[in-house]
Amino acid sequence: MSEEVKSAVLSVIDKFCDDSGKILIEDVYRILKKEYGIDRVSAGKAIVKLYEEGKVAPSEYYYVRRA
Amino acid sequence: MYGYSGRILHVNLSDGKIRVETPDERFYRRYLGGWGFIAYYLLKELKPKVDPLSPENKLIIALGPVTGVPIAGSGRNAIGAKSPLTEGFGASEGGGFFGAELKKAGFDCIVVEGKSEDPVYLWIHDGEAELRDAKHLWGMHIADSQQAIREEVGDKLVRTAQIGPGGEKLVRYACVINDLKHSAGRVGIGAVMGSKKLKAIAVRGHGKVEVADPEKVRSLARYMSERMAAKPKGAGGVDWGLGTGAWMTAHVLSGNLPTRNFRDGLFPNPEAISAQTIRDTVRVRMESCYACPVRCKKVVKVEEPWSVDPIYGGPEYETLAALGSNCGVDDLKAICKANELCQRYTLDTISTGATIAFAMECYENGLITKEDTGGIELTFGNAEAMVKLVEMIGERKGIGDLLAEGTKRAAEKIGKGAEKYAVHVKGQEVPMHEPRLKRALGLGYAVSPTGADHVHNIHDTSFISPSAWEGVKALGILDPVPVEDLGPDKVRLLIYQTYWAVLDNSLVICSGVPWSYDQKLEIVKAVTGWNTTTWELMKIGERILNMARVFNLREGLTVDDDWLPDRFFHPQTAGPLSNVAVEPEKLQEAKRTYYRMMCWDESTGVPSRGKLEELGISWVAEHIPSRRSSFSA
Repeated sequence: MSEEVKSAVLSVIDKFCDDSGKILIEDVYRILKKEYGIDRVSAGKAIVKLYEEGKVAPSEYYYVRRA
Repeated sequence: MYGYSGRILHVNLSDGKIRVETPDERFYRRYLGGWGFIAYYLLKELKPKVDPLSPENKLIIALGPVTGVPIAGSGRNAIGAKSPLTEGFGASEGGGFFGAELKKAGFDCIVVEGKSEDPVYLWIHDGEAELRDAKHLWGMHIADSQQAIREEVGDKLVRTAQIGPGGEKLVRYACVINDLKHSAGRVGIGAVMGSKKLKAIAVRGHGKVEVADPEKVRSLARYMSERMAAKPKGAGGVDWGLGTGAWMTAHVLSGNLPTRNFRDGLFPNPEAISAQTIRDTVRVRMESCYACPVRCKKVVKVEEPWSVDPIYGGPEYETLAALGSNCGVDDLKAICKANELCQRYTLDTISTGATIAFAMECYENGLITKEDTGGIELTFGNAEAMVKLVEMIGERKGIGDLLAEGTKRAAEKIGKGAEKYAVHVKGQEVPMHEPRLKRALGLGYAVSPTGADHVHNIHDTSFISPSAWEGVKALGILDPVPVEDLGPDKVRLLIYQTYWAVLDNSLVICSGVPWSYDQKLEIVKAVTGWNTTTWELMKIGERILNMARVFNLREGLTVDDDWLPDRFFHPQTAGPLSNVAVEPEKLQEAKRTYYRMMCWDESTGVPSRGKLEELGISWVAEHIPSRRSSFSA
């Protein structure tokens, strides 16, 4: 798992989340592609890994936030 | 009478006799179509306890008033029989164009009985019906047989509902496929068709479905077309145009994506098998069913390492999960190939994937060996093995012969405790939605008349957003209930949602089109001209659900069959549901609540006489076995 991809996911969450700290998963993918050129398959693996590591958590089903 | 042709076709394959029944309008208004017709004919005409694969079983292809009306979601038909998987009420629905064409050909329903000595197909055209020899079509994959039929009748626009070799070889979860890519997937109706030696039903009609209020129908159709033309976003901000399978990461993070036979959590590569990745890699276009602007059907093409023919469409969410994550497979091309093979052989992708996942877990635990598999390393994640097994099941070759029986029967034959890996309800494999997360869905799986089903059910997670709760206030559900709740309010919501879903399956209209309750009422009124109400429509759903219940009781199913498989009483091995399991006591209490609300006896599950009378179906009581009668009410 590329540490850069995981780091980019966390950056996107931090930078683009709403006031409550959550962001649509779909927006994470969209921004990662546009801003970092990261494809969604790699990003998906990174999000699951970050969940396992306790660094991100799901929110209202379709969102993620920092854990 | 509007919305119907008024003609029901009866075909006896044993003696070749064909007749037409013309019921009165009261029959249509009471039973509506689809599931309603299937339940009616199974109760009225099927002898109790017949073997589902015997000539005594009946195959019922049923339309509804909406079928063939040029409005979104009207391209579907229901198809039913006594199920060879569950030995109970069997009904499934398929989309495409076949249903609409059948209505235009002048029939609302086909009831097929008996068994032909040699393979035949039924050719229906503009009010006429005839049986034709199909010996030369037997054994063909469905694209080949459809082409042959079209050439024989000399019409390229003929629509078909067919079985492939899987149905011919009586795979218990064989399906019937409309127009090569629209499956009436569940409960094994394809095996019933195969047992009757009926290869296909081919239809062509030039008629028109007369509706009571054409302008209102046009206005409703226009509304949905304009809504879809605006390219709306669905839940989670994903495009409607992606079809199903667009929320894979969300499913993983909630524990909802079945992983390795529902055993594990946290499928590590969710987006490898998502609708978005399909769009970005193997998708060649999206298609629609008859008159539908939603266009949710994927068409995929792959050239290597497997060749996947786009003529067979592409995988839906259920397929992506069943043949993908549930088998531990993240190889999208392999899933596309397995999906194509399921279409060719006419196998239900859910049951096929679930049965392969079951076999993989048996293999990993030493209950099946390499000797049994013919040398295949049947481990989770082995994409090549998964694809190979689909073909072996379709051909009933090697271990495929055992797995063609479904998880319940295969587990009984394997023994050695294999039952604990068989994830089914009433013999039907569980669809790709997680009852440890969606508690009311789990209850819905348990009490469903067809065995585990996700369509005539509730999805608790659909009610996360406040707007969803606004929508059900019209049903009298005024306060939100948490996803994990299984109290009376949630059970009530499950019941109301099920009535609506059964109504959808009887109209027959697609539940994937975002019509509101009020709009569906408007559609029925505009099509039929009946001065009906939401109340009457919900009562129709309730009536049909009770008929299916009584059919199952008559066939020997009991309250013990209204239960979940062992797997869900244990947590997943990892992820958000690693500390969560269905609690049997809570499920039992919710089941009792469900029975009470349905006016079914708490200990026997038998509908009360009063309920059947209130639903206007006193005659159904005659079909309840006397030993289970609890008519004290």
